[in-house]
Amino acid sequence: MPYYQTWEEFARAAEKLYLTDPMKVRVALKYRHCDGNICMKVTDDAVCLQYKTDQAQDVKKIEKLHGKLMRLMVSKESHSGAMETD
Amino acid sequence: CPSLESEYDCSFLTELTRLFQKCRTTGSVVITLKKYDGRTKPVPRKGHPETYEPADNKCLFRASDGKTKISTVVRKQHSVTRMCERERVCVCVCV
Repeated sequence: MPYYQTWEEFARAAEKLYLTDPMKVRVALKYRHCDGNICMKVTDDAVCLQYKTDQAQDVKKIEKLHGKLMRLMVSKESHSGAMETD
Repeated sequence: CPSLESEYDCSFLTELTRLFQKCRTTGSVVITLKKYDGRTKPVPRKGHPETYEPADNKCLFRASDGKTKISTVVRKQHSVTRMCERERVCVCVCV
């Protein structure tokens, strides 16, 4: 499965995929300290979006998106739908 | 379907930190997140699905190093905050 080259495109696609069907989407984060990299995957088992990085500034962005998706999952379905871009 | 996913509590954060510490020199930590509807049993192919208390505001948070698996159900925004804070601490160690 291909990896996204730019964070912005990945983040936008990931949020969009989640909002399309929240119950179908799962988010996976894989940390490898020994290799110094992180991979984020967002998938509904039909579409698979991935982003990999070893850059510290990207890690912050990944954490932020991860937290955002977690908050969306934990809030009631009737959210405003407003999407902030990083 | 989770059968015994425990509701989020502080001990989960301790276990999560321990998982990251174990994987410092080798291996990966995988965190999986998905929205949870409150089901406790899988939908059977035949017959009727079990009744369950439906939920709209929960998510499953799982972490694994390939051998040890831990999981919790998150349903409060403040739990999300604490989870994110802990992740940040753990990952700073990582990358």
